[in-house]
Amino acid sequence: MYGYIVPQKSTMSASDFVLYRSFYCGVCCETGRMYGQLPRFTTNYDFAFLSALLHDYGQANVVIEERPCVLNPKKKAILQSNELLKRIAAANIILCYQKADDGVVDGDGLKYRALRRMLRKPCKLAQSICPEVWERVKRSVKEQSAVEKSKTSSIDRAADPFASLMRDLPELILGVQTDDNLKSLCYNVGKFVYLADALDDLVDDRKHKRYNPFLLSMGEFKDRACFIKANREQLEFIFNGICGRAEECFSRMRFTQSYSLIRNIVFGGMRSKAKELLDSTKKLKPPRI
Amino acid sequence: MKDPYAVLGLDKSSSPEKLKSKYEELHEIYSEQRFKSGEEGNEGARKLQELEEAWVVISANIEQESRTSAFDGDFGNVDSLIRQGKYNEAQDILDSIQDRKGEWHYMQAIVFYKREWLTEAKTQLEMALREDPNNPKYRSSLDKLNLSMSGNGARNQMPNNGQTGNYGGYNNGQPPYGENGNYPPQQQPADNMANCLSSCCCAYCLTDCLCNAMRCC
Repeated sequence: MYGYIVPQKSTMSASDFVLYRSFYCGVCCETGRMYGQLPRFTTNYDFAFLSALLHDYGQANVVIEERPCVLNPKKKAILQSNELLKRIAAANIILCYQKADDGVVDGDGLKYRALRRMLRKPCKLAQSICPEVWERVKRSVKEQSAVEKSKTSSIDRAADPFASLMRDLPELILGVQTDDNLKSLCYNVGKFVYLADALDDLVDDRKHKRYNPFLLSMGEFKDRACFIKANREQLEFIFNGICGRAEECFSRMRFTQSYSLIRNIVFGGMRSKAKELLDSTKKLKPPRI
Repeated sequence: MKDPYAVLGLDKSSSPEKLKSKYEELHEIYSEQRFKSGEEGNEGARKLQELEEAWVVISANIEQESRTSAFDGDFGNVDSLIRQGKYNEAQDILDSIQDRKGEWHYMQAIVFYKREWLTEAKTQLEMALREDPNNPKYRSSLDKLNLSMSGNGARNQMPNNGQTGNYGGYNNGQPPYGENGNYPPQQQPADNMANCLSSCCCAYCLTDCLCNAMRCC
């Protein structure tokens, strides 16, 4: 599900790239420090974005230090550990554990069992750091399950549980009330992630007879290319709408050190990812930034 | 504080048009008077300020009344709940209304829009227009929604192609060695899992040692 909220590297400045990577590496290092080496593989670009967003919104102390990394012996700019980063890493572990659990319940294979087993102990520790995130994620799982059981063909209704979780996550991580603009921005980002994943997984979901709101609402499926071509206008409407609302919310917010980075992701990254999904004839490969 | 309507020499029941025209009339008189010398000038300035303060209150009242009279009955309640951000309660009232004409679909579209359910909002506006094709309110709302969802904010961008490779083993679960899960051909299949596990353990220990040695994380 992760890797859909990425920057548009071609239009990104060198300093923003370093800043972005320091947030990404920050999540990775913090996860390694708190939970061990294996869970570091749960680091993802979507949480790097969330880290940048929350550090700026919460006016947290962003100290970037140059240290070597085990995967890259040259020194790299990495975000220094702080309380907010600990909570972000914990939230990521909880979400990844939940995704692995979903995979096991859906019968998606041994790899999800192994992942769930690996993340069990880290998740317990993460729960003790952010119990309210754990409770909120559990509620979201129940809501998602109810929506999928009802086999709703409404795209908005299908995306609502995950989008609502993303909307509430910043408040639970930061521990302060957030304003409507941040809530709406995160709601639309969450909706984008859910629907991008559903669009990416069209073929797999059809093959394994899994719930997919696009398959239920948009007519016959022969192959991915034909399906997208037949429903292009409606799909563009959906994704443009989400990106438009995210941009609107961004424009009403005030950012400081990460302004141009977050702007690049919201204005450039999201739209180009949507276009990539619609133009692709098969499932996207994981991005490499 | 003096009754704002009394400052204009009218009362609350006067129409908004009459109130506005009286305000403009008095504003002109006092604006000229304040530039006169002596006590008359001071009196003009004082009355002008009193008039402005009264008009702030009266115009706010006029706006409030025009808002509440735009929707009557249940829809007025729905409108009020939407303004307070109570979308669940607004939805409950809408669900309880059996007679679902154009205005019902319009209010439902607003609730959906506030909830960020743009596709559903568009569907409801289209249904409202089917009920009442000549309604300018429904037409302009649908046009605005279509415009905001048409991708006009998008700029020319290069497609994000050619970005391949692994970003962590979470999704693909591949062994740390070998490309695309191809094991060295001379090993027997029965040994593959054992080798994979032992290699994972080695990689884990190596990473841990390196981290401790470099004190990087």
